Order: sequence, then C-alpha cells, then structure tokens
Amino acid sequence: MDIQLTQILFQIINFSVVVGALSFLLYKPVIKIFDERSKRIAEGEKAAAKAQKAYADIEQKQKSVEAELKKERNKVIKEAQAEATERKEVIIADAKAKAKAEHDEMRAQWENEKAMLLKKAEKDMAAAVITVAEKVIGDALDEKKASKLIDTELKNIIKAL
Amino acid sequence: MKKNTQQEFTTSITQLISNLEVNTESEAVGTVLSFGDGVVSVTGLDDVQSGELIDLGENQYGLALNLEKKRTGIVVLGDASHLSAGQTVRRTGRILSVGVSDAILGRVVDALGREVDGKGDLPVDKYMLLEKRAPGIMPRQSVSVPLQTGIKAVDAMIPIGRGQRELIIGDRSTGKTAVALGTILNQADQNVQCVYVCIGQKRSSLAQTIQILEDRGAMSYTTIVSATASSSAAEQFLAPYTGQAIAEYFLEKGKDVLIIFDDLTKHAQAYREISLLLRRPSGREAYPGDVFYLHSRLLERACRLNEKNGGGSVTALPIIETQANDVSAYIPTNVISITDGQIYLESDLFNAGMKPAINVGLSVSRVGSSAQRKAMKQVAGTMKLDLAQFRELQAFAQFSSDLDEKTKSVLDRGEHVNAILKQGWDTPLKMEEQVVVIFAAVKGYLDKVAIDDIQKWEAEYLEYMHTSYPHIFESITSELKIVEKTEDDLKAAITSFNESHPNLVPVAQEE
Amino acid sequence: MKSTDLTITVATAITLSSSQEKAIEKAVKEKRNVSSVTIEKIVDPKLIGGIKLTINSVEYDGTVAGKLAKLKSQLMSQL
Repeated sequence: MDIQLTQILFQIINFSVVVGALSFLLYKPVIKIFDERSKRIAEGEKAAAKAQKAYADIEQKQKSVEAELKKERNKVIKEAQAEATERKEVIIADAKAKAKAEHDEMRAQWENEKAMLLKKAEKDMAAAVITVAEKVIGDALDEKKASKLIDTELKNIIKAL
Repeated sequence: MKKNTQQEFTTSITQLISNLEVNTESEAVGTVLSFGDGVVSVTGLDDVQSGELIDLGENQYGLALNLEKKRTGIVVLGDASHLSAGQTVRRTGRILSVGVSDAILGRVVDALGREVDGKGDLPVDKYMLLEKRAPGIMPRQSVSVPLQTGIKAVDAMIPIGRGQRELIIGDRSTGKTAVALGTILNQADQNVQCVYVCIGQKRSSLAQTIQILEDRGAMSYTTIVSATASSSAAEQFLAPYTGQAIAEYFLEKGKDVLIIFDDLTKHAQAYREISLLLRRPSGREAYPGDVFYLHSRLLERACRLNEKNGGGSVTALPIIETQANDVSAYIPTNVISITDGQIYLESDLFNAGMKPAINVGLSVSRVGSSAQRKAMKQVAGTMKLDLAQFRELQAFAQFSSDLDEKTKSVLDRGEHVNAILKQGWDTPLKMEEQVVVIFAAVKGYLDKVAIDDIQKWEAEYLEYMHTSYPHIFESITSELKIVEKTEDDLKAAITSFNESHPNLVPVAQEE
Repeated sequence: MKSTDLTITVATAITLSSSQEKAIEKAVKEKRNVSSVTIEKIVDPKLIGGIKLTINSVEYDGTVAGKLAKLKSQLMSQL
C-alpha cells in the first residue's frame, strides 16, 4: 500500500495542479466570456427597450401630427366655405343692385316717353287751335268788316313804312 | 290724376296764347327762281349775310352760300320738297349756329344740332357759331400734356399730346376707325370729353359704334354728330363744324376735348358736290379751289389755350381714306400738311396679321416726346431704333440664310418687340401697364418666348403684376418715371414670372 | 326832281277800294321819295283778311293769315 499512497498523493498534486491550471486558463476566461455574454444580452435588451420606446414615441408623434393636419384641413374648409358664402352674398348684392339700376333706368325712360307724348299732344293742340281760328275768322269777316280791317292794317303798315 | 293733367294742359295753352303779341313788322323776303339738286336760286333777299340761315317754310332751313348781285344761291339743309318756283322764303337774321349745353354729352345729334336719338329735346345753354375764327397766336400754349390712346405703338413711338392734330390715314379696312374708337374708350378716367363726328358713314356702322360705346360706358362723356351717307351733302359739309362748335363749348369752360372726324375724305367730296351745284369753278380732281381752306379753318381751331384763356384744349384726330395707299393724292397731301403728324396704317401689315397695322417708319408725331411721360420715354427711347434696325435687316434676311450672331440677335429682338406691339382694338392699356410691358420687351426678358405665345405672355404677365406687384404700378403712376428701386423690383418681378411659367418661357435644355 | 317809278305788290283777300288804293299810292310816294307808283294788285282769299305790301323784296305783312302763322310759330317754339 505505500506505493498507492504516493501515487494518490501524486495524483492529488497532479489533480490540483491541473485544476489550478484549468481554473486559471479556462475557468476565468470562460466566466469572463459568460459575463460578457450576459452583459451583451443585457445591453441588447436595453437597446431593444429603447427602440421600442422610440417607436412608440414616433407613433405617438404621428398620431398627433395627423390630428393637427385634420384640424388644419377643417379650418381651411371652414374658411373656404366662409369665403364662398361671402362671395355669394356679394354676387347677390351686385345682382340686386344691377336689377334695381335697370328698373330705375326703365322707369326714367318711361317718364321721358310720357313727357315727350305730352309735349306732342300740346303741339297738336296748338296747331288745332290755329286752324280753328283761321276758319272762325274767315267766316266772321263780311264785306264791311273786311274793308275796315284793310283800313286799320294799312294804317299800321304806313306807320312802319 | 288724368283730370289734373288735362286742366294743366288747357291752362298752359291758354296762358301761352294770351301772352302772344303780333305786331306788323317788315321782313326781308325772296322769291324762288329755281330749285333742283338741293340748291335754291332766289331773287330778292336784300341784305342777306353769307352763311345765314334762310327759312324755307315748313320748318326747313337753307344756308345762303352764293351771294350774287341779282340772285342768292341757297343750299337746302334737309329735304324742302315743298318748295316751288315763285314761293317766298324769308331771312332769319341768324348766322348758322348750334345750341349746346352740358346735357349734349351722351346724345346723338345731326349737323344742325337737333337730336336724332329720341331721348328728348336738347336744352340750350349757349349758341355756338359753326364758322368761327381760330384762336390767335397769343392765347395758345405749346402741347405738353399727353393724350393716352391706350395703344402701345402710338403712345410709345408716335405720342399724341392734348391740343395736337394727328391724322389717321390709310386704305379702307385697315383699322382707322378702330384706332379712333380705342382712343375714346381709353379716355374713361382721363377727364377728357369726346366728340365723334360721323361723315358719310353707313348708318349700320354708326349704330354698331354707338352700341359699343354704350356697352363700355363711354357714352357718358361722348357726343356723336351724325351726318351719314343718306344725309344731304350740305349736312355732311356742316357736320365737322358742328362737332367743332360743340368741342369749343367745352374748351371755353377749360376742359380737354378729343374730336374725331370720320372721315374728312367724304367731307371734301360733299363740299365738292355742293360747289359744283353752285356752279363754282372747279380745280384739281374737280375739287373747288378752296378745299384746302375748308380743312385748314376746321383743324386750326384745335388748339391748346394758355391759363389766362381757360387752359382747355381740343385734340383733333381727323381720318383720311387713301386709295391704293396713295398718300400723294390731293386731299391726303392737303391734310398732311395741316396736321401735326400722321399715323399711317398699311393694308399689307393688316393682312400680315399686325393689328394695329401702324407703319412705325412712316408715322410721325411732330410734338413727339414733349407729350410723353418720363417713364415712357425711358423705356421707349430705344424701341424706335431697334425696330428701324430690324426693318433694315428684315429684307436682307429673307435672301440670306447664313447670318452672323449679331444680325441674328438684332432680328430676334426686333421680331419680339414687333410682336409685343400687337394689340386688340378694344383692349386699351394704361400708361403704367404699357411701361412695364415695353420694359420687359426691350430689356430682353422676352427673347426666349415663342412669337406666337407673346400675346398670352403679355396677358398673364399683366395679371401677375396686378396681383403680386401692384406697388410697381402705383410708383410709376405717382412718380411718372421709373425710379431705381422700382426698376430693380420690376426686374425681379419679371424674372420670377418667367421662372414660374416654364410653359411660356421654355428653359434651355442642359447639354 | 328826277322821275322815278316804283312798282309795288299789294295782296288782299277782297278787292281793294279805290280810296284805299289812292291812300297807298300817296303814302308810298311820300315815304319812298318817288314820283310815281305802280301798284300790282293780287286778290288771294287764302289771306282771310287784311293787306300785304311788298316793296323791293321787303314785305309788310298785315294779313290775318300772316298773323296766324306767326302766332303758330311762336307757340311751337315755346312748347
């Protein structure tokens, strides 16, 4: 059994050397690698979380912009409608004014025509009066009166000569 | 209401009759010897004056023109079909005159001043003599205020001033009346009264003209004297003098008046007819010897008066129709020597599509740039030169196809400037609009535009300027010249317009 | 005195009496300073009444028709 003891001792020393060497050469680096790996995973998770957050943010922003645009659009439509109604009113007012002006013009024309007809009637009346006078005087003058008339007129003419 | 009018009616007539007085007076009378072709030969009529109105009965009048020892030759104004030999005619003692008032604007009258448009009687404020001596030398003032015609070619290169006589001469259907009408349409806000005398034209043309003027609102400042082709020769002879008398009514009030005689060729022909019937000796082309005096005494009455005499002016635009472009015929040479310049319209240009068909080379305005605003002088100064060079090279270019760069550029520029002068007859442009358009043309901003697109370019350009750069127009109107700042603004405006309209101004392709 | 003769025209609606004729002759001789006067008589019923003298193309109208015509033209011009 002696040899077996030294061998066991030798084995134990050998084993501890190997373990020591391994732990130095293998264990630590492997642990380091595992550590790095877990660190990387943790970072990856963090980045993913950040990206997710950013994505959520963008979605949020997009929604708000859409809402803004909708608001703008509604505003523009409202303005256009207001302008359209304004224009319509202006056009209607214009048309009304034109119609009134035409009506006034026609009325003035009619008044004018009435005045002209009246004037013509007066003129015709005056002509008729003269014709009547001619006839009446012609009938009223007999020989004696006519001779007397000639004498009176002659006197006037001689004065004017 | 009816009874009232009837009563008023009878009372007014009775009053009138009771107010009448008839005394026995002496009257100078004459006896008709012969009557034919509108001329009445009369004996008696002692002491009749030349140019006196003679009462022929039935509300017809005649003009005593030939005074001889034993007879008087009277030209009938109108019809007088009731006259017969042995009938009595009387003197009125009145020299031919027309009754005028402010209400004559917007009306159509005949050669004796009687209304023919059926809008009611004309009130009379003053009687203006038809034959009157032209103002002497001292009351006149030189022409310095422009009369804007609204036509680019005229206002830029043949400018007309208030108080000038400018003849519009050309063959038939070259646009003479259109130039005159365009000028009337442009006077809407220029504070100028217009008189349009129509001598020997068709009634249908005159009706169309009146319709156009009414539609454009120009009748409110225009009077029309109508002696159309079916009026007697005496009425056609008197019509220009009637128009001039109406213009002088406003001249005495210190207003500016524009009078257009359309046209004096037919006026001379009517005078020839009367003179031959009165047996006056005839001269060249059978015209009487005093046909020059006929027009000179009419056109000399168009003048500009100095401040002491009211400061008004009468601008005359007589129109003469030539036959086969012959400006050396008798009547055209007469009138050319009387007027202060002419606008020469050619039928070749008209047929080639250049409207208004103004031959800029042969047209001249003797008043020239003293009747032009400084703004217009600045832009139009070089235009006449450019066009003259262009015309010189134009004939040359038709033969030679191999041209050097400089010639090509002159031809190109000339073509574009020529094209910008085309204008619709009823679209007058204000002075500031003309200035910006001509500025763009002479500074080369149009060189890339196709010739056929130039009208469109001009229309859109003016609209663009009115909406986006109205301050340029305001500056030109107020300063009457282009200041540096306005010039820079203008250049920027044209450039931005050209860039924003690539369909009209094609951008050169990248090589 | 030189012997001058003046011919005048007298128009009436009815025939002139000799006394009236003599009155005309006398007045004309005086006013016109002539030695003899020849009267051309015209009877025109259209004149209705009164008398019209024409001396050397100057007319003195005292007839009813003439007065009515003047009335008519005055009325027309006033209306």
